Amino acid sequence: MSPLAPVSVTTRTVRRRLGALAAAAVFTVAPALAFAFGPDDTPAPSQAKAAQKGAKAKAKAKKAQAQADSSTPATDDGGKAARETFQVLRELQDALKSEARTSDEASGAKLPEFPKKTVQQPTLTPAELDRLVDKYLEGTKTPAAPLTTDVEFVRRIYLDITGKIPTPEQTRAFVNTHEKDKRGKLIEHLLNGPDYAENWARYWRDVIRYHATNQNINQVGFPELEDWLKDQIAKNRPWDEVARGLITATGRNDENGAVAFGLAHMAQPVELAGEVSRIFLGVQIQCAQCHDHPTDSWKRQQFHEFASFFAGARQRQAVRGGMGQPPVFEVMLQGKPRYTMPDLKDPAKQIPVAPKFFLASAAPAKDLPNSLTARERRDLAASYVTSQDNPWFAKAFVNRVWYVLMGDAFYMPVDDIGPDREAKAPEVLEALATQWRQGGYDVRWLFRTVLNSKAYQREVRSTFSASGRTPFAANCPSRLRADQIVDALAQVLNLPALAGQAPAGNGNGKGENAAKKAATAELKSAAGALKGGAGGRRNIGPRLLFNTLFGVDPSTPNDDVLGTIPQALFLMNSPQVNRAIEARPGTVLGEILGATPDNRVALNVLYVRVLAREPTAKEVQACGRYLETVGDRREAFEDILWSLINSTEFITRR
Amino acid sequence: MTEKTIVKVAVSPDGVVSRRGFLRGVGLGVGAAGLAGLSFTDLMALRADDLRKRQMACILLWMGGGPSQMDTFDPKPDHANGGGIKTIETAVPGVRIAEGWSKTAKVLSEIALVRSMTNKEGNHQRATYQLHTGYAPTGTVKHPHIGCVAANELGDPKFDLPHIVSVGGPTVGAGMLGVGLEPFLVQNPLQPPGNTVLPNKVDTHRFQRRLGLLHALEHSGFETRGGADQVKDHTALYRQTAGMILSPRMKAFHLDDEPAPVRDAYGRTPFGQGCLLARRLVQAGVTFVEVRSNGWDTHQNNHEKVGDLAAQVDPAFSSLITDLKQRGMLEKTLVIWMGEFGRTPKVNPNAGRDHFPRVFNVALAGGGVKGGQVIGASSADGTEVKDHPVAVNDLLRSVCHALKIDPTKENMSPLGRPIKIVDGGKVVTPLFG
Repeated sequence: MSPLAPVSVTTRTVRRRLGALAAAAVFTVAPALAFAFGPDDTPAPSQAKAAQKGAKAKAKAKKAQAQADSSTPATDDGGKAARETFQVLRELQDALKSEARTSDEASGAKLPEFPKKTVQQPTLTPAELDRLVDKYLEGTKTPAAPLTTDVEFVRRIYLDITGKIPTPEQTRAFVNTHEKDKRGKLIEHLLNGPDYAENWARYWRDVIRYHATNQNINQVGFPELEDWLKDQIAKNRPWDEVARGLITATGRNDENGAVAFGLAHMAQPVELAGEVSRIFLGVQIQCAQCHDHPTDSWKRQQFHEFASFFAGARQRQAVRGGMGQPPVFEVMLQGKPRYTMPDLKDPAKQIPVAPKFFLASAAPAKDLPNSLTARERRDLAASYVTSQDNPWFAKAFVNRVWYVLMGDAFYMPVDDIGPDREAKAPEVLEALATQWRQGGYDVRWLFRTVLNSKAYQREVRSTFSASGRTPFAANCPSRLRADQIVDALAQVLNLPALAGQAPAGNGNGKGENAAKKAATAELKSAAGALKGGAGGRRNIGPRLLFNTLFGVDPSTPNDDVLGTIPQALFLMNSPQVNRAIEARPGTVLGEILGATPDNRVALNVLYVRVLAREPTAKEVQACGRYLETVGDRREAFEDILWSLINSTEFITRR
Repeated sequence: MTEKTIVKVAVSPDGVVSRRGFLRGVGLGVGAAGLAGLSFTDLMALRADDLRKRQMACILLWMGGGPSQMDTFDPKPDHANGGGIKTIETAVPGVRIAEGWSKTAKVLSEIALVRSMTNKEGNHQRATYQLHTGYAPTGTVKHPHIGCVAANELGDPKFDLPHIVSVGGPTVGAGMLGVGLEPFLVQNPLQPPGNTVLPNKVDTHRFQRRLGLLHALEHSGFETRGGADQVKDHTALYRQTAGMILSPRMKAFHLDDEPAPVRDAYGRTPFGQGCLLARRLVQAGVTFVEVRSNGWDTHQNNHEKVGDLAAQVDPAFSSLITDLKQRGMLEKTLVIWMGEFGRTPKVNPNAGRDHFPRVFNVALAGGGVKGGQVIGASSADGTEVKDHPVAVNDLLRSVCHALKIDPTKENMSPLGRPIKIVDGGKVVTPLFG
C-alpha cells in the first residue's frame, strides 16, 4: 500500500489544505480524525514508514489517526479547528471515494492467462474410495475396525453434517426403519437441509477467526461472515468461487460478509498473504516473512512476492455504531499500489517487490509488472490459488474435510501441507482431490462420497490405541466444537436461551429475554466480556460467550485439544445447567420421570436423549446401584443426568 | 493431581510428539539431559523442590486504555503540555509526581519509575498484545502472556489453584503454551470466580457422590468403546477441577476474611479489592496475578477522568506495596504498573489526550527492584525520550530477570518453530541497583 500512488488533482488539493491544518493542529484534532476515518484504521508500522516518504499531508493525517481512539466518537464540539479539519477530511474522503472508483480501471498491463475452468463429472464412487483405502490398509497390515451400528452412525452423521445431535425421535426413526440404503438416504437428506450450511459456515468462520489479528467482532463482522458463508454453502457454490469471494472482497461488511476476511487482518498484505496461503493452500509460507524458511524450501523473497498481490487495500469505518446498531467497516482499494519489503542488510531501506506466485502454475508466474492495480492483483491472486492447474487448493480442502469427518488427516496439522510434506495414504488423497478439482470443486459431492464410504462409517478408536495408530483403519473420536456443544446442551436440557434461540411454543417474549439475559450474565462470569465489547450489537447473546468459553481453533490437531477448567466448572456447577437438570415440573427430567414409573425405562429414555444411545449393561448396573444407594429417585436421576452431561462422550464426536 | 498432563509425552502416529506432552517436555529437557536414569515423576519432584526455592511471583496492575504519563508519574507542570497539572512531593527527595497520587508518593521509596518507555504501536489491541507478550500479533503464532510463561516456568505442578489469574476481565491468553496455562478469570473480586461454588441443593457430599457416579459411568461406557484416550484426558481435567474447588486454598478468594481496615485501605472499589485479592492469591501460592483497571483511554476530559481513576488506583497500588512489604513478600513479588501506551503530550480540543506510544511510563516495585529511583527521562514538552530509552522487550527482559526466568529459553510453536520467551532487548540494569 503506498501513498506514492498517483492521486487525482482533487485529492492532492484537498490534501494540501489538510496539510496546512494538520501542521498547525495535528495532535489536537485527533478525535475528529478518528470520526472521519474510523477507529483502528491504524497504519501498520511498515506502512507508516512508507507514509513518511509520501505526501506530507497524508502522512500527518495518518500520524494523528494512529493516535486516534478506536472507540470514542467526537460528538462534542471540538472547536473551530476540529470542525474545519473535519470539513476538509470529508472532502478528502469523497475524493478518495472517487479514487477508489477509478482504481477498478485496468492498468493496461498484459495479464497472465489461466486455463479456462472445466467441469468433468467425477467418477470416483464411495466403493472405489474404499478400495483405495483398503489397499492402503493392506499395506500397513492393520485390520480395519468394524462398521458402526445404526445407533452409532446416526449420532455421527447428524453431528458431522448438521452440527447437532439427533433428537430421540430422529434416532429412533432411523434405527427402526428397514428401508434400503437408509444411510445414503439420510446423508442426502441432511446435506440438503439448512443445518448443514450453518454448521460448516461456523466451521470456516472459526478457521478464519482464530487466526484473525483483529479479534474485535464489531470491526470485523464475524456474524456477517458466517451469514455469507452459510449462503454460499447452502447454494453449494463451488469452492473456488467461495475462495475467490473471500480473497477479492471489497466494500462494506454489512453488504458483503466476505469483506470480514480482509478486515480480520485490517487489510494488511503480509497477514492476508499468510492466511490465504494457510487456509486455501495449506502452506505456511508466512514463516518465511522475516527470513528464508529454515526447513522448507520457501524463500523470504517468495513470501513477499505473494504478499505483493494484496497490496493497496485499506480498511476504514464507513458507519459508526450506535445503540443496537453495529458499526460498518469497509475495505477499499487504491489505484496502483507499490509493495516493498524491508532490506535485511539495511532495515531503513525498502526493496520494491512485484507480485509472483510461489507454486508451479500453468499461467506464467514470471514478470508481472509492479504497475498492476490493487484490483488486478487480488483477482490474479485468486486465480493462481484456485486455478485447476494448482493441485494444492484441492488438497488443502479435501485434507481439512477428511480430518473433520475421519478424525485423522492425510497431512497433520491440516494447515501445514504442501510440496515439502509427506502425506499418509497419498493415493487416497490424490484420487479424491484430483476428482474433486476436475469436477469443479463441488463441495456436496465431496461430502457425499466420503460420508457414504465404509472408511467413514467405521467404529471409533482412540488415536493412540492399536488400530487408531494406523490412519484410516477406524474413525477417530474428536471433541465437539463450541457451537455443537451449545446446541447439544440446549437441545438435551431444553435451554434454547443458552444457544440464543427463540424458545419453541409460547411467544412469551419477556420470559425469553429474561432467560437470555440470565444465560448471558452467567457465561460472562466464566468467559468474561467479548473482545471489543458487544458494541452496538444488542443480539450478541449467550452463544458468542459460550464460544469464548468453549471455542477451539479448528485447525488445531485433535491431540492438542484439551478441555479447560472453566469449561468443566461450567458444566459441573453453573446454575443454569443445574436448574435445568432438576427433576421438577416443566423440566426435561421432571417430565421423563413423571411419564415413566419404571427406572430401567426412564434410564433408557435419558440415555437416548443425551447420548443418542441406550446404556450398556454395565452402565445399567452402575446406575441401578446408584439409585439404591441414594434412595431418592428424583435426586438419583438428577445426578445421573448431571453425569451424562459431564461425561466425555457428551462433548465428543464418536 | 496434575501429574498426568505433565508426564504424558505422547507420540502420535506421525511420529510427532503431541503438544500436550511436548511443551512440558521442552521445559524438562534441559534438566533431563543431565539427570538420565530418573523417571519423569522423579524429575517432576526435583523440579518442584527447585521451584519452591525460587518462589517468585508477579502482580501486574494493568491500566487498560493507556494511562497518561503526564498525569501520573511524569508530569510537566511547567510546560503548556502539562495541561495545568499540579505536582506533589514524594518520599524520594527531588522526585515529584502528579497530584492525585499522594498515597503512592508516600511509598515511592519502594518504586522505580521508568519515564522513558518507547514503542511504535498505537492500536489498543495490538499494543496490549505486545506489552503482554513482547511480540507484535501475527496470524502464525499466538505468543503467550508473559504471566503464562512465568506460570509455566515457576508454577509448582502440584499446586491446586490456577497458576495465573486475571482479575477484573479477561486478558491476553496462553497461546501456544496451551490451555492448561490459560489465565483463570475472576470477573468480579467481590464474588467467587464463575461456577466455583457448588449449585443449590448440592453439598460437598452430593458433589463427591456425583463425581463417583461420573467416574463409574465413564469407565463402563465410552472408555470401552474407542474413547479411552478422551476419557483419560477428561478424567484428569475433572479431577483437577474438582480438586481445585474443594481445595482449602479456595479460601484465598474470600475477601470477607480480611479485616475491614485492610479492605478499606485498598479502597472499596473493584480495582482496590482486586489488588487485595491479588495479594491473597500470591500468598496462597499463585505465580502471576493481573488486576485490570479500565477506562484509561481518556480522549475527552482527560484531567477529570484520570483524577477519578487515580482515586481508585492510588490507594490500591500503595496499600498493595505496603501490605506486601509488611508481610515480607515484597522481595519475592514483582509489582508492575503499566498500560499499553502513553498519551499525547498536547491536550486535544476535547480536553483529552490521544494515543501516544512514543513516550510513556511504567512503575515497578518489589522482586529485587531498587525503589526510590527514576530511570530515563522525557523531554521538557514530553514529546521525546531524552534519556535511556526502554523498549518493550527491554522491559519484559527485566521482568524475566526479576522473576529469575531465562528469557532466551525457547518454547515450541505448534509448527515446531522455536520462539524465545523474549526476543532481543536488554535488562534495564539500573532497576536492580
